[in-house]
Amino acid sequence: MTTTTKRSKARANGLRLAAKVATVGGFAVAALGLAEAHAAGTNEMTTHAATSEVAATHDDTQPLPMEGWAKVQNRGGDCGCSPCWGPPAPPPRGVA
Amino acid sequence: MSTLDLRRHVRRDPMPGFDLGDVSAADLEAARTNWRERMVSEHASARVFGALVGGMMRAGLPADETYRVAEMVRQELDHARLCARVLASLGGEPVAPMPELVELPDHADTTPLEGVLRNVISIGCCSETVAVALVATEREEAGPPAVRRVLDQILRDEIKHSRFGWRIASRLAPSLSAKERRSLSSYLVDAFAHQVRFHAPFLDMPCAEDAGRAIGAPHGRSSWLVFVSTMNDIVVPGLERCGLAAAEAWREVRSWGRAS
Repeated sequence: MTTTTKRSKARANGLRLAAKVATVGGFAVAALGLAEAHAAGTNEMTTHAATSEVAATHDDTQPLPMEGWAKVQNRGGDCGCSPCWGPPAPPPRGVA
Repeated sequence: MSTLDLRRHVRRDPMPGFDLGDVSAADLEAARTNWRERMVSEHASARVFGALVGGMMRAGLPADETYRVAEMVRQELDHARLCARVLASLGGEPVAPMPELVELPDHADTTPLEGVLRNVISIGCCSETVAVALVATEREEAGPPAVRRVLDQILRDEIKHSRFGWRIASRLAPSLSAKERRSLSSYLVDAFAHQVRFHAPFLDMPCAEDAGRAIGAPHGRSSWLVFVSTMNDIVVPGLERCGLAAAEAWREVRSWGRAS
C-alpha cells in the first residue's frame, strides 16, 4: 500500500468513527469498547460514506479547502502554537 | 507564566522503550514537539471542563451529566500524563511552559440554557468531535504498541466527550425558545470561525513520513483535511439535525475566504 493510500485510508476510518459518534444512534457506540465500535454497523454508515470518500480520495498535495483564508487569519490555540486535542475555551459572542 | 512539569510522574511510571524504526531526525523532533504540545494542551483543557460545571448547574442540567463532566476533568489530566510518558520515551523532557489560560465566556447576554449550550456545542460537538477524527486517524497509522495503547485510551475518552456534546445538544435544543434558537444559531458563526482559526496552524505544520507518523509526528495537510471534512460532513449536519442553522453559519464563515 502506498504512503498516500495509507494516509487516505486512515483519514477515512477516522472520519467514519467520528461520524458514528456524532449520530444520535451513536450514543451506544460510546458505551462500547473500541473494537466493538469499529465493528458495529449502522444505517447511518451509508450516509457517512460520502464523508469517507472525499477524505479518502483527496490528493493532499493539491490546494486544500479553505486553505487561503485560513492562513491569513489570526491564529493559535490555547497553547499559542499548534492545534491539539484538548478543547480550547469557547469564544465569546460576537468575536467572529 | 507557570510551568507544567510531569517528570516525577514519568519517573514513577515510565513507558517501556520502543523501536523507532527508520524515523528521520526531523520527524523524531516533530514527534517530540507534537507530544509536548499535546501534554500541555490536554492539561490546560481540564479547566475547560471544570468551568462547564457552574453553567450546567445554572441551567438545571441533570446531576448525572455534571458528574460525567467532572470525570472529564480528570480524564484530560490523565491524557497529559500519557502524552508526557510518550514524550519521555522519545527522549524529550516532559516539562513545558503553560500557555495563557483564557477564561470560558459566561455568555451573560443570554439565558443560562442558551449560554451552556453555546459552550457545550463549541467544546463537545465541535472541538471534541474533531479530536475523535484526528486521534482515530492517527491511531490507524500508529506503529509501536505502546503508542497505540495511549491513543486507544485517549480516543475512548474523546468519544465520551464528543458524545456528551451531541447528547446535550440534541436533548436540549428542542426546548429552546425561538429567540434562543436564533441567538444560538447566530453564535455558531463565532464558534465555527474559532474552530477554523484554532486548527489553521495545521497548514504550517510539517508533513511526516510513514515512520514519523507511526510515533506521532504530524502530517499537517492531512490533519487540516480531517478538520474540514469533520466540520463539513459531521458537525454541521449534526447541528442542523438539532434544529440549528448550522449550514448557514458554516457558509458564512467559508465565504470570508472568497471575499478576502
